[in-house]
Order: sequence, then C-alpha cells, then structure tokens
Amino acid sequence: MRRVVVVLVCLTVALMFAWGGVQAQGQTPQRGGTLRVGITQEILNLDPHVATAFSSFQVLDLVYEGLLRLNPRTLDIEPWLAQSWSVSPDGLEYTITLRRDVTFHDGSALDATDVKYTIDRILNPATRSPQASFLAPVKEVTIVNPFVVKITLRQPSASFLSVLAGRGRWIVPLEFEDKVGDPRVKTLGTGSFQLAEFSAGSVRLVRHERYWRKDDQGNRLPYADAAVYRVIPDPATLRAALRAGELDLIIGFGVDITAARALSGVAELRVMTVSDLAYSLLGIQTERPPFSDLRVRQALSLAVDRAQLIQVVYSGRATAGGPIPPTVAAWGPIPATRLPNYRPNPARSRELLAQAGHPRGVSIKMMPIATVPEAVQIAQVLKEQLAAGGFTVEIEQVDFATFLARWRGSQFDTFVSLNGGDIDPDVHLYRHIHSTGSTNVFKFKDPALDQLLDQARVTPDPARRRQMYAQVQQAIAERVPFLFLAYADLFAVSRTAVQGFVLSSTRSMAPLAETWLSR
Amino acid sequence: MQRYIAKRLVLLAPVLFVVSALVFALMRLIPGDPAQVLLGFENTDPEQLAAVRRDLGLDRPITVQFVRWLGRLVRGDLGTSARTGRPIVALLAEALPFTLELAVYGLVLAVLIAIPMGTLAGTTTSRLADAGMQTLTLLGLSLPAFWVGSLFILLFSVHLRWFPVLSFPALWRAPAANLWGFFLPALTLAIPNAAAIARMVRASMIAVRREEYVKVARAKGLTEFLVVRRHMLKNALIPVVTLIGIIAGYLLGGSIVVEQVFAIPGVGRMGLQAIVQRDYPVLQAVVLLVTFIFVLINLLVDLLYVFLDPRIRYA
Repeated sequence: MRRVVVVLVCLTVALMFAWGGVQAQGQTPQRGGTLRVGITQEILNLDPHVATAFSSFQVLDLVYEGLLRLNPRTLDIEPWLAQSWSVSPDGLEYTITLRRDVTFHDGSALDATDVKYTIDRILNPATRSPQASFLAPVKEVTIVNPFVVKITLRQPSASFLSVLAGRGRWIVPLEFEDKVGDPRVKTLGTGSFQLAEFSAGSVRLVRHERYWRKDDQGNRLPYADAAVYRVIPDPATLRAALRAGELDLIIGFGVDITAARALSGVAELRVMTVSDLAYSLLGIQTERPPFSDLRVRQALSLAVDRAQLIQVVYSGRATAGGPIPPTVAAWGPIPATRLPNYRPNPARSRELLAQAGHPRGVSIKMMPIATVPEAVQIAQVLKEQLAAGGFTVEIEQVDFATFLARWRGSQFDTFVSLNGGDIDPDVHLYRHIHSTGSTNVFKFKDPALDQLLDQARVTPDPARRRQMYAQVQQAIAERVPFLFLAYADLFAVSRTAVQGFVLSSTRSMAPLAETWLSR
Repeated sequence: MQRYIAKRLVLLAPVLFVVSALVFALMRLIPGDPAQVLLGFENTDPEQLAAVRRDLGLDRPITVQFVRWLGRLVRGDLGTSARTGRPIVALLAEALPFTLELAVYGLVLAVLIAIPMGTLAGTTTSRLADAGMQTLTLLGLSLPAFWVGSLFILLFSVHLRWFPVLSFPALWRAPAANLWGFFLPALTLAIPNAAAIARMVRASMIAVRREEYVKVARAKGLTEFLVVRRHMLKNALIPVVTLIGIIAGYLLGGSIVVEQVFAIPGVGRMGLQAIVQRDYPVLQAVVLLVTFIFVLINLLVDLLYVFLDPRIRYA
C-alpha cells in the first residue's frame, strides 16, 4: 500500500514537472493569427525603388528583401539574399554569390539576372528612383553564372556594402514592371509576406508560403498567417485601439514618449524602446546673411542648450549627439559635450554676434516641419534659449508641401526637421554636408570638409576611415553647416501576446517575420 | 414641377464649372509643388523634378491644364491620383460609402435627438426644463468634435468596451456590426447639428404656438399631443427642413474631423490628404463631388417644401 502511495506521489511530481515543461514550451513560437499593426501615416506608393515615405517602407520591409541586411539588433551587415561576397583588393569589384533557395511570390526562383535587372532599374533615369544616387558609383553589373554577379564600381566606395544592405535597394525579378503592371500598387518580392489588399486606410499582407527562411527548429517563417496595417491618423485613437485590443502593435510617428508614458503600466501592454538613428536638426541657410558669417553660426550653436531641450521636448528620452549617431559605436561618435560649440554659452554667443557686427543681436525666422509632431515644440524651446544668446526668433508655421518647396529652394533662415540616419557615416553625412551633396539645402561649402569627406568615402581601411571621421566630426562642429540637436528614443507598444518582435534603430518592420501571437 | 427640376439640374452645370475653376486656380496659387512632394526629401535633382512635373502635366500653362482636365471630365475620366497613381474613380468608390453612411447616420441621429428636444423646449411651460434644454444645446454646439470623439472612444471603447474602435464592415455584409461600429462617429457628428436643429425647432414652435389655427385646434378639443403633432410641428418644420438641408450638405465636409479622429477612410480624409500632399486631381474630384451632392440636396429640400406645405408651388 505504502509503495503504491510512493509511486503515486512520484508520478504526480513527475507529471507536475512535465506540465511545467509544457508551460515553458508555451514560449515556443505558435503559428497562425493576424498581426494587426497601427500606424499614423497614409501608405502611398509601394514601388520599392521610388517610394520615399516612411509609411511605405513599413510595408515594403516585409514584401521585399536586399542582397544584404542590417541586423535589427546589432546593426551589423549580414548576408541575406546574398550568401557571401568578396571584394577585390582595389575595392572596385564586388563578387556576390546568391542563395539558391529563394523564390519570389509568384514562385519563380531568384537568380543573377534579377539582381542585374534590379540595379539597372534603379539606375535607369526613367525610373526616377531616389535610390539612384546611392548606386551612382556602379559602373556595370555582370552575370558570372546564374548565382554569381559581379558589380564593378567606377571608384572605390567604402560605404557600398551598407548601401546594398539599406532600404530601397530591394531585389525585384527580371521584367518586374511587365509582371506587376503598376508597381505603385502591386508588388512582387521575395519577402516573408505578400500583398493581398491595398486601400487608403489599410494594407493586408499574407504569408509567403515558400519563404526561404526557417527558424532554429526548422519551422518555415513567417509564423503569422497575415499582417494588417491600419492607418489611424490621430495618435489618441491609435493608443485607444491598442488598449481596446483591436491592434497588436503600434509603431511610427504617433508613438512617442507621450504614448509610451500613457501606456506603460497598462497590464496587457509592453513598451519597447531603442535609440533612433534619425536625428532632429536645426537647418541653417549658410549662404546668405546673417548665417553666411561663421561667427553667427557658432553663436547660434552656443546659444542652444541641448540637455534642456531634451528634458522639455523628449522628457529626457533622447541623446544629445553630434554628427555620428551615438548608437553606431563602431565609427567613434564624439559625445555632444566634447564637441566645439556644442556646450551652451549664451554670453559667448552674444560676444560672437557683436564681433560679427550685430551688437544688438539678430532677428531670424524658424520654420518647423509640420509632419513631425515634436518639431514645433523644439522650435518653441529654441526660441526661448536663443533669446538669451542674442537671437530674436520668429516661428513660421507652414504646411508640409510649403515646407518641402522652401526646403528644396533653400528659402529659409532656419528650419527644424528630422533627418533619417544611417549606420555608415558616408551615407549619413555626405549628401547633407558635401558642397555637391544631393540634399545640401543649407548651401554649405567648405573645401577642407569636402576633401575630408571625399577621402573618407574612398578609404576602405576601417581604422583609417574612423580617424578621418573623428576629424570630420570636429570640423562639422566648428564650421556649423547645421545643428545636430538630438537622437530621440524610438518607441513601439505591443500587446503582451505579441512575441519575438525586435524594435530596431533602423525602424525596420522585417522582424515581423519572426513575430508570433501567443494564445 | 418637372420643368422646375429640369431647370435646376441645368443650372447645376455652371455652378460646378465655377467651383472647379476656383479650386483649380486656388490650389495652384498656394505654395508647394506636387512634383516635389512626390520626390520627398531624398531627391533634389532638378532634372528629375522637371521630369515629374512633365509627367503630371504641370509644365503646361494653367489654362491648358484646366481645359485638358475639363476635356477628360466630360468624357467621364476623373484621372489618376498624382500621389498614388490609382484611378480616382476607384478611390472615390472606396471612400464615398463611408462618408455617405456617416453623413446619413449622423443626420438621422441628429434629427432623432433634435425634434423631441426642440418640441419639448418649445411647448413646455416649465422654465427650468427650457433652460436645461438651452444649456444642453449650447454645450452641444460648443464642444469640438475632435475632443468629443476622443472622449467617446476612451469612455465607450477603452473603458466600457461597448463599442469597437476600428470596426467598419460593409453595411450590406454585416448590417448590425456596421451600425454598431459607426455609432460613435455618427453620434459625434450628430451632436452639434442636433443642437442647432433643436434650437431651430424650439424657436419655430414658440412662433406657431400663438397662431390662430392652433387656437382653433385646441378649441376643437383635440388632445395636446395631437395639437402639437398635427398642427404645430408640421408648420414649424419648414424652416427646420431648410436648416437640415444645409446641414446635410455640410455633413459631407464636416465629417473631415470625425473621419480623422475615428480613422475612417472616407472622402473627407481623402480631401484633407490631397490638400496636404498637393494631389491636385484628387482634390478637384473631391470638391466636384461634394459640390454636386450639396447642390442636389438643396434641390431635394426645395422639393420637400411642397409636401410639407401645400401652399408652396413651383411653376
């Protein structure tokens, strides 16, 4: 009898352990379900090489893939559709070997002709691709064999791998335009999801059944059956829909520190955060008075108290960074506190203004961008701060299209905006600061900085490049083409049932392939 | 009567023409370039900008653009969205059902709230009840829709969980779910209009209260209910119907805020986006459509008078 009891007790204990094991296995990914993502901006154009809106990228991240990718956590460059690559010693030839198990959504297999077609399409002026400037160094693409392509450059490009890993350099199949008809509304990629429905207020993606990636247990990705993006322009409604259980994840412009604060502490929700690569900036028209005088630009920089700005606008959830994002440690970002002209000194600011012939200070206009919610707040804080440094600021609120027109025409004294960042310092800085840069709307010209940027661009050795960018950072802070203000924290809020999503500094949505819903 | 309707419909054409010409000119007067909006922040290449402007036909003089647009319109072609490349007819077909339903639903709720409230306020002898109604309608008129809408969502959807936030299934597929999902937006839209209508009903009721025929009806010994319903209300409704007609037109435009707050992809939001992004063809189409419906509703209201008051005749 006693023996029976002992056996029974042992069995019970064993069962309990087994049950515990099953419970723990609840953490293994479950297949199925629909991931409902809330975003605040309209999804406009789905052409992978033409789209520029962040909302479009949020969809395209799941539909298309590049040869390489940035690891969403570490931001390292990793092989993706390309299995491996090699670079010739002179830095001019990139030989890329493709994976053999990748298929497009229509079932056709990826091969070298698709890669050549993609790069040719981006470079074709008729495509009007904003990505063309990134691929400008490409001289030609040759097909070595069905799974190997060779990309030859006109001159060495130290940032070329990171260009291949970036958004917008996504691979499409040969004869893409003929196959899809209108690529602005139809898609055909290799990504984990494919487009099922596209309307003004929502986009529905369904699982790509023959997606090439598998998880560690050998299960084919993605886990979810479908992903739906809902456009909810009002941030308060966005938060409410998440709380009411009608969304699983909210991310993007409406999800800032206000949302994170309002939703942290709600039982069934989880707040995720990471430091952004994008930065807020105070743009300056450096070609005309008063900012054509370097002393006035330095005075402007000295009058700004970034720490206070971050406290007031971002509730402390941002980093006062300089020209290189603080998250990209590999390139030696210099903290703002150690850069010239980045420590607040309003007295020195007034002195410089007086030296520049403005003993009574100067009056300037400041134009915040309408689509970035915190831009107006930044302008208001700057207005107060700059007053102490001798600047009288008039804030000009204009709508988005007007801002864009004036930005492009360099018709401003100063503006407040948000610039997208990049892990490669060349991509991050060159186009804004080099005198021939494609988005140098500041009209900034500095031969010494031009030369430094040009040299760093063609220097393949990372250690030497790093030294050069240390000089670049110092020079930018001294010459003041514009003011780097803050790298804010990014936020996303999900329901606790959402597992496996990684919020990346790049804002990529690609990790939704490994995201699953626990039920 | 038929000649009158025909005449009104013919007059519709010049109204639409003038409105189109005005919007066409105004959109091009305000700063901002649709081609640059299309290219965004990544691209400042002047050649590409010129090419996109050519694609959109913006390189031609404005009169040529207008004539071309009119020519296509006459052939029933509204064109394609500059921003998304999708045909505008398809965009409108997606968006219009949302807005129409919201407007009709909102109007029905407004009338259902306003007529009893206004009647009560206009016939009651209790000063307190009248003052209460007046205060309520004043509140209804003053509270902004974006605030009321947000509050409704927080209270009824997040805390009480009575209504969904984002559920707008098609009416013909799931009628009950549809009416349930649209209730909060429709109510938000209804409140200020209900207040305006209620005030008008109250004022009209007070005006007809002293009419001879009301005295006669009372003298005949009719119950108070019948006096109000048959004799007072019907006569008091003429100015109210005019107001409802005007409101119905405005509801189409007024739904912009409600569509924004409740994330309804309707015509109002489409128009707003078109303005922000300088999508000229879409905005043209939206304005044309709203004008058309507005004029049509006004015609309907004029015809409705005949049925309410047989003394009115159209020759």
